[in-house]
Amino acid sequence: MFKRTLLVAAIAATPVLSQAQTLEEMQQQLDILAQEIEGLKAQKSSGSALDKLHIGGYGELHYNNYLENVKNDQVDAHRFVLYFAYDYNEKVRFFSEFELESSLAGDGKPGEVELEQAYIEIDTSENTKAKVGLFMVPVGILNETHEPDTFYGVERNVLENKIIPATWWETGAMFSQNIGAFTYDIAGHSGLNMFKVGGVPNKIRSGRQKSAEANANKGAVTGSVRYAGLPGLDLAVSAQYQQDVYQSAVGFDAVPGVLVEAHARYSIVGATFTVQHAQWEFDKAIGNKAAEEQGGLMAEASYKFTDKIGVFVRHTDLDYNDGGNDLENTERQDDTVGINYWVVPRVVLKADYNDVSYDNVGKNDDADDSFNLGLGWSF
Amino acid sequence: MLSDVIYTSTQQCWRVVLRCILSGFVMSISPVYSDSAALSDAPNSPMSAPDATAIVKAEGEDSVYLSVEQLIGGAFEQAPSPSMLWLDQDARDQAKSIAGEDPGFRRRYWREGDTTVWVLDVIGRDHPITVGVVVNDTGIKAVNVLVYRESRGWEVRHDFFTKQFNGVQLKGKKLDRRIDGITGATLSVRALQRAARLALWLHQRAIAS
Repeated sequence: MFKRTLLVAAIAATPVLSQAQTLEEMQQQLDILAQEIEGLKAQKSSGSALDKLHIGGYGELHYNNYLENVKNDQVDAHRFVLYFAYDYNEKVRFFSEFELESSLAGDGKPGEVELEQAYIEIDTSENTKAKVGLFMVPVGILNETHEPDTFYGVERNVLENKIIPATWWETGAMFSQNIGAFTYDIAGHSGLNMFKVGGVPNKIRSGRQKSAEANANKGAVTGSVRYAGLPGLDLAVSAQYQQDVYQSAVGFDAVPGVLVEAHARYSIVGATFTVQHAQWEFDKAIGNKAAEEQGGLMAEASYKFTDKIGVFVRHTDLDYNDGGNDLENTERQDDTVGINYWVVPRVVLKADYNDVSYDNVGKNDDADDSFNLGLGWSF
Repeated sequence: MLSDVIYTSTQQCWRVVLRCILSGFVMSISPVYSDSAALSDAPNSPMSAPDATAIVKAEGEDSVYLSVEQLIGGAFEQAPSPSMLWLDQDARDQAKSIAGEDPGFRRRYWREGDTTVWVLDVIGRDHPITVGVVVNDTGIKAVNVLVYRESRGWEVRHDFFTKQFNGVQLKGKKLDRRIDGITGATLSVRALQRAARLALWLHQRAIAS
């Protein structure tokens, strides 16, 4: 009797046991299948050159409406940039940016095709890296990070246009180290050429040679230190020494120059405050007393109501040489107010009003006042 | 007149700035993960390799700031065996709408009690950043950058930035707290925010299952 009961119990338990085994086996089989799928996916992508290639880009379209109608209103496909990066391995990578400016390039056309970045970056240790090639000079806020969705205003601020002068790239080598909250860069690279026939100084911005068959008789060194130890706070100081911005022009003395730039930015609860100062000192051999010192100041306050909408107000105050032998430099103040609307985090619509005033006698104070619209993207 | 006001306010700003430098200096010279108690003295756990292939490839390279073993060892007293969270298409779509990231059809994680650990790859500008996120029922316990491969923005791997995430929870599709960014590292900051949202969502899913 007891034996029969035991047998019945054993028979009754058998399907349960085998069902449990089957479930376990099925789980194992599922895991094996999933691993196979993941392996196949990895196999499909690994080994391909495309796997190591990274493509991206950014661009911006501008509409400038000059309120006094002294200047024509303008629509401009201001920048269209594509970039390619390639990883040779975990430590060595190539990076580039290729830009079409103002839509149409060529003889007599308004735009330019530019190689804006092309460098090899090497991670030399956990906290250090080196760059060799054509890279952005580590000065200012916008020069190294200038995707349109990262800043306010349709046009970049005039301090980082006329004094710094962004976008500014040179060819050379750079070493960077990150020590806790501090990062420093030190770079040796090609220099500016502000020489114009007759020995009249050119604008700083026009002195950029863009590494296009650039005169490399004299070079420059740049150093920058940055502190980002408190979230929302960014402090940076940079300095540059130019050996001779006349690039050993025959019959002219060397014109060394020093640029000092500093900025502070602090963001708290949606509000961001930025102050920036940049100042050039050129040797008196530049031949124009007024042009020996050129600089300016920028102060901006912005508030982001939501992830999508932010407003800003900005003041810039510049004292710069507009090229030529004028006895006095151009003294220009810009007051700008505007709004950014981010359709998605990397697509932005912008609108602003910019009021320009000059301290110079005879300069039309209202000619450059404008209402501007912009569309920017990056991916 | 206006320029006088600006110059005066600038001077005041620089004074504040100097104070900030001095107060922050002590913090900045301490070792990278020094005040992350969860990750110090991490033992080598005998766990199997994580499912993020990139980490396996990168181990032993200089760009690895913290290994998965160290992350797990710091998060749990005894490293648990990895678990697997399976996600159907609806779940993946939900994850994408919250985090902007596709978690894939299954996701390996480590769990003990109400604490889970996730290792996620998120693209900053053009390269993946490998992020380890420790979550419990009160929100994020720690965010750690395991491997950083982007050209700019490497400051995001430091505690002074990542500790902002501690205690953060999901509120609808967003984090319940604002994360202050780092100028010039916007895309890396956004990538870490996406990783945080995804880890919080995955945690809810894993606990519910």
